[in-house]
Amino acid sequence: MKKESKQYIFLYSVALAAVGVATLLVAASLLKPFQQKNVEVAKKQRILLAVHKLRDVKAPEASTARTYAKYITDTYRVSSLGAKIQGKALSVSLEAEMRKPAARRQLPVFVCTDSDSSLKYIFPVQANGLWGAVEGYVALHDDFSTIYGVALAPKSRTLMQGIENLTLALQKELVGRSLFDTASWFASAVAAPKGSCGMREGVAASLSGYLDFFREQRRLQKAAQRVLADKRQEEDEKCPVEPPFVPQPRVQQPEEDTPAPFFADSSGAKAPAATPADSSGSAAGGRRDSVPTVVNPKAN
Amino acid sequence: MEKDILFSTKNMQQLTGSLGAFTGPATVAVLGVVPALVVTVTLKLAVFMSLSMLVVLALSSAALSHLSRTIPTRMRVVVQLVVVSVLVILVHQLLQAFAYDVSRQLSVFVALILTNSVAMGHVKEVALRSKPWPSFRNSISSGLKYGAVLVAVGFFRELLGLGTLWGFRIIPDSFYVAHGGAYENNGLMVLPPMALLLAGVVVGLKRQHYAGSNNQEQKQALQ
Repeated sequence: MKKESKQYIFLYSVALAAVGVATLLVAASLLKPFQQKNVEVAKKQRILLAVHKLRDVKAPEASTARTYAKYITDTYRVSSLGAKIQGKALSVSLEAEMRKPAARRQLPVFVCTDSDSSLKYIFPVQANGLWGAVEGYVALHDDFSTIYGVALAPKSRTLMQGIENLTLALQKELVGRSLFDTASWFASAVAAPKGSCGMREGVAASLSGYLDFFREQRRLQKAAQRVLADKRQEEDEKCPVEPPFVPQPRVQQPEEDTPAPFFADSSGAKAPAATPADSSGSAAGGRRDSVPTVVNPKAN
Repeated sequence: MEKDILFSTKNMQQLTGSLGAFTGPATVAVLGVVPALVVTVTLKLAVFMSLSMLVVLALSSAALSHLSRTIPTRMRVVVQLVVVSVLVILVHQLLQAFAYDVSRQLSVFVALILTNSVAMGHVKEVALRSKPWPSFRNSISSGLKYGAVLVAVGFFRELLGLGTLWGFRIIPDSFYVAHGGAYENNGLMVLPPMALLLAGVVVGLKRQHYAGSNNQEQKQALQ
């Protein structure tokens, strides 16, 4: 067969492509376990960074695994309706889940039990950075509203400093802020038009996937608090216990538009309403060392 | 026919003799300087980029010179691209498996070896015209010379820009203004323009050196 013939060129092309593909397939399948392990370690490091359990991502693999096992006590997935689904959370790719229709999404949740037994909930987020995607984790307090920590990093780390500085600035800005304030950054970021490329909007969009879960958890928490309060009240009614008498100085003056409160003395007679001069002590000639008027709710 | 001994004196001289001369593609033809600007922020990245380049260059040269007699003339460029790209992907996969942090930092620049004029130029001019072993040897020599420039630039950028080498602190904290000293890192060193300036300094020094030498061959190479 001539080297320059069409038949030879065709066969040569097929053979070359087959050898190339086979080589890459073998290499990819052999190296995949190592690569997956690296990705998992990097994810664990980011999760621990979000709850301030690691200083930086340079922590060795063994210590990362130890710290993760110590603090991350539960992981599960949540549906778009906020229902918990048991399953591995670490292997879930947020990017892949966000591409699915909302009804079919299963988003991962990581639960961190801190040294003081308080719980932190960690959620993956992704956003658009300057030149590429930014990904990371946001940790919330157990009120499912206040941000405890944020760990963001460019997906493919660029060698420029700009994106690092931007992510650091956003992390500092978000920590301590609430998702459910009336004038929340979260509400305005979620309401931003589609296609907004800011990092803040991306983080908010990722967290908005969990909104139903947050609402459900907050509703359950409130219900639990109500049940607890009712139980306490019932217990108090069954065996009323006189609370210890703790004198409390009355330092706040009553607001003008509210009716002046009646303060009961020990004989049950109504005392005159407190005047600002009384409450401000010596400022208006009152005695600073006089015994403050207190209210004992059980006195009546 | 004379047998080519693998590590003969002549071969070893050819491999290492010109390293000191620094007449690599980056200094003579100013080829492949784009990654030199970006990946030389730290010494570690420069070393890994140099190694990646060396492996791709050496293996692609050896493979293509083996295949050179069988490649149809019309398909030469296609075959070059396929061989080099397969090797580039392999190197990228290996970095992701065994040097994950480095692979994330090098990101697209490993893949861009495919478009590096050093690789493609070397493959076209040397690999397809020589026997496998001389081609392999020549490409190792070229890769080392190219890597030497990256490492030299990376060394000074990391030392002067970050005060570290391979991530380890070299300039003590007590020297810094923040700790009561009088030293401050040069922020410009970690930016690409400084890499260009440093690469220019290396090229300039070599040209200055050869301008005064009597070696006509080297003078011609620089012209």
